[in-house]
Formats: sequence, C-alpha cells, structure tokens
Amino acid sequence: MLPIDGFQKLIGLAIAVCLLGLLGLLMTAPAAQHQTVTVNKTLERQLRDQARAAYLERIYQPVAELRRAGQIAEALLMLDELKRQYPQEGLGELLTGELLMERQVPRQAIEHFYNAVRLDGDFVDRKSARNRHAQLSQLVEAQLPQALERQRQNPEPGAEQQVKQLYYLQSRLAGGCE
Amino acid sequence: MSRHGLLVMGAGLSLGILGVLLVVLGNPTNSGICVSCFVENSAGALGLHDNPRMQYLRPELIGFVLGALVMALGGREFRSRGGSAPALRLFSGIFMIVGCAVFIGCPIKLFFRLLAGDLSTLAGLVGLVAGVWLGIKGLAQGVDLGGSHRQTGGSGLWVPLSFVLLLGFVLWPPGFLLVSSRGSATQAAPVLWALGIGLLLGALAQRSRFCITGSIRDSLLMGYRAPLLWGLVAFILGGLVTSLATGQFQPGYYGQPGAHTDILWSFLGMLLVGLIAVLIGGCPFRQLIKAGEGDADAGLVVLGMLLGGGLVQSWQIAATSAGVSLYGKIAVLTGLIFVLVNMLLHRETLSA
Repeated sequence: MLPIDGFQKLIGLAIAVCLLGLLGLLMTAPAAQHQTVTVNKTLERQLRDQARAAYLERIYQPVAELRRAGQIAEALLMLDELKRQYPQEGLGELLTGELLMERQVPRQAIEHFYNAVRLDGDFVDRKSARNRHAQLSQLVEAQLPQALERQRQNPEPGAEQQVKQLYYLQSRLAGGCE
Repeated sequence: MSRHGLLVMGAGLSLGILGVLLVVLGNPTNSGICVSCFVENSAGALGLHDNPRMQYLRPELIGFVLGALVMALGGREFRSRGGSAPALRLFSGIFMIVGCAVFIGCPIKLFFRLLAGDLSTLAGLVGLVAGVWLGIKGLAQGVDLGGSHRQTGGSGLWVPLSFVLLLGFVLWPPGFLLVSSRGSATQAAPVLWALGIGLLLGALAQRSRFCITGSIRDSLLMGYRAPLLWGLVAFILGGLVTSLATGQFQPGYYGQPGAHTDILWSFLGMLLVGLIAVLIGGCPFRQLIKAGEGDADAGLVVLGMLLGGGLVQSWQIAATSAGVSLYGKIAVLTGLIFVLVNMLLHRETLSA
C-alpha cells in the first residue's frame, strides 16, 4: 500500500466535508422546504393548461351558442374569423370539422379534422378530456374506402391529398410515438 | 452451439419478448423498446426540450445502463477506457438520434414496428443494412477513429454514476423534473416493471454483446457463422411470436402507428444510423451498454444522444405521421455530410 501524503490527506478531508454537507442537506431537506420556493413544473403546467382550456372555452362560446341555435352558417363564419385570429389553435379547426359533419359534408370536414389533429394531438389522445377518438375513428372508417375509390377513378391531386389526410388520421388514432 | 452463442440467443430472445410485453404493460404501440424515443422523452423530462407531450424520464433507459454496470462489475469486466475521437463521438450521438427521429425509431424499434406488421419500415431496414455495409467498406478502406485506451482516474465511471442520479430522480422525482400529462410520453409501463426489464436486458446485453447493427455487420462479414446473427434471429422470432400472441400484429403499409411513408427519408435516416453505428462500434442501445461498462467514449455518445434528443424536438427535426419536416431533411443530409467527411479525415492510407 502506498503511503498517503499531505496533499492526499487535504483532498480527502475536503471530500469528506463536502459529503457530510451533502448528507446534511439531504437529511434536512424536508424541514428546509419551507425556506425555499419549491418549484413544481408539472403543477405549473397543469395550471397553465387549465387556464388555456378556460380561455378557449370563453372565446369559442359564441360559436357554441350559434351551433346550439342551429345557425351553422353563422357559426362557420365566426370560426373563420377566430381561425384568422388564432391560426395555431386546433379547436377552431375541430369545430369547423364537426359543423361540416352536421351539414352532412364529411369530405369537406376531413381537411379540418386533419389540421386540428396536427395542431393539437389531444383530439386523438384517449386520456385527454378533449379527445374525439371515437368520432374520428368513425370518420376514417367510413371515408377512407370512399376516398380510395375516388382516387382510383379520378387520380387528381385533391383526391390523393384527401387519402393522405385520412391515412394521417388513421396513423395518429392507432397510437405509437409522436 | 457455444455457450456464448446460447447467451447471445438468450439475450435476443429476451429483448424480443420483453420489448413487446412492455407495450402490453403500457408503453406506446410498436414502441415497447425504442432507445431514441426514450432518449427524447428523457431529454424532455430533464428540460432539454419543451414539447409537453414528450417528457418522461424512462426507467428502461436507466435500467439498460445500470444493468450493464452491475453485470460488468460482477463479471470483473468494468474498465475505464476512452480517448478515441471524443468530440466526433459526441456529435455522432447527436446525429444518430437525428437519423432515428426522422425514421421514427431506433434500430430496435425498426424491428418491433416490422414485427407488428408495419411494412413502411422496409425502406428503413434497407437503409440500415446499406449504412452498415457502407460502414464496413469504410473500415476495410482504412477508416479508423483511433483506438480507445485504458484510462486511469475512473473516467468511465461518470456516465454510469449520472444514471444512478437519474435513478434517484425516477424514485424520488424532484419538482424540476418535467412529466407530460398528455401525449405519447404518458403511455408507460409501471415504473418498477420498466426498470426491472431494463436492468435485466442491460445485464444480458452486456454479457452477450448483443446489438442490432452489430448483428447485421457480423452477418455481412461472417454469414451464418456469426453468433450475433442467431441472436438477431432469436430476437425476431421472440418478438414476432409475442406480437402475434398479444394481438399486436396488424399488417399494412398505410396508417400504421407512429409511422410515415416518406420512404426516401426513412431510408436515409436509417442509412445515417447504420453508418455511424459501424464507425463508432454500436447502435444507440449498444452505446448505453458500453457506457455502463466503463467506456467513456460510448458515454460521450450517450451524452450526445441526450443532447440530440433535445434538439430533434426543439428544432422540429423529428418526423411525425404527417411526414418528415424540412428541418428533418436538412438535418439528415447534414449528418451524412458530417459522417462522410469524417470518413475521409480519419482514413489511414497505406504508404507505398
């Protein structure tokens, strides 16, 4: 065994002091919590998400009222305006898709549902309160065979685009990593 | 068959079966084990990117490194070594994750996707084999990053120790750790199951040296005599049977979970991964195992992978079901330029 010199003793002592300090900090951590501002980023985010949801509910409230009153055309016009104001918000696209489905024009609704899911994955997330998994699954199941048939009969870019959008929705509905 | 051959087959079989079972336990569909996805999730949890749907410190990732560490210590194979082109390896780690993110999955996930019937992975598989083949050609032509050396001072300990710290974060999550409340990062097997499976697979992989790209490399070099080939066969059989038995086999090309059909970019993404993996000695999974057994060079690749996990999400490099973004395409081509230039710079030409 090699002899221990003075330098090694000094470094060893310093390590021991640091380790004791670390141990002390960890052992007294629960008691010292009240002295520091505890950061809980997950809680902060949940609060932000809830605030966001409440804000969105408020700005889309007039659309919901028009929809309840059966004024679909007016609701769609209002949604156009809101989408211009909030272009990165998926809820406007989702509501547009839903209104077009109520108007029995699912082919027009597909693009809006596609945009909605691209902007906000919550719409296909079964754990989310805002999920439309069942509704979108039905749409894909019903529209994909028809879209493929249209593409086969008339292979124009529009038909191909619609098939791609439906495949995208199908893939997102199937789950997997994002 | 030799004892080592049986060990390799056991490791491959375990990886195939347990990888699919992790999906049954809660991991994302077709993604029971995906080192690059786990790295992206973990980078997000540590605050390296701000995608709120991709933040979760994956226990499997920690298990791989610590399982390898325990097995290496137990088998007296833990050796601090390093010093081979460290900066290049750090960047290689980043670009490996870029290639994986554009394809959507590491080489292990490539096979899990395929074994679940996802035919869109075929382009990636061809790319991976082509990348490995090109890497072998490079090695044969004298490309050499320089050998690693036994290092005193325990440099190989620091990455495994940082994973011990991460284990502490998993067991006693600090407030600054980010955890997704929505998105694919919320799909996860129970912590203790994930950790246990990770530890077991890490230990088996350390002892057997099993690696996907290594299996392809050895098969191209040695044919059916390569033990790793039989490990790969066992992995495929184990994964396929479990996939069929658990009802996860859904064959098709379009609309597969977590997949896109940009075949050129799937090909190039996996080409990049295969090429880098051969040059630095292993796929992302193998780098974790090597880091666990004291390889400081692999440790730098792992740190690069974590950095890459943050970048691919922050810079919108990662592909989605909608396809590959412009940034993703630029990043893959940049990665290919990076590795090809380095192949030229690190070529030892024989003097006349």
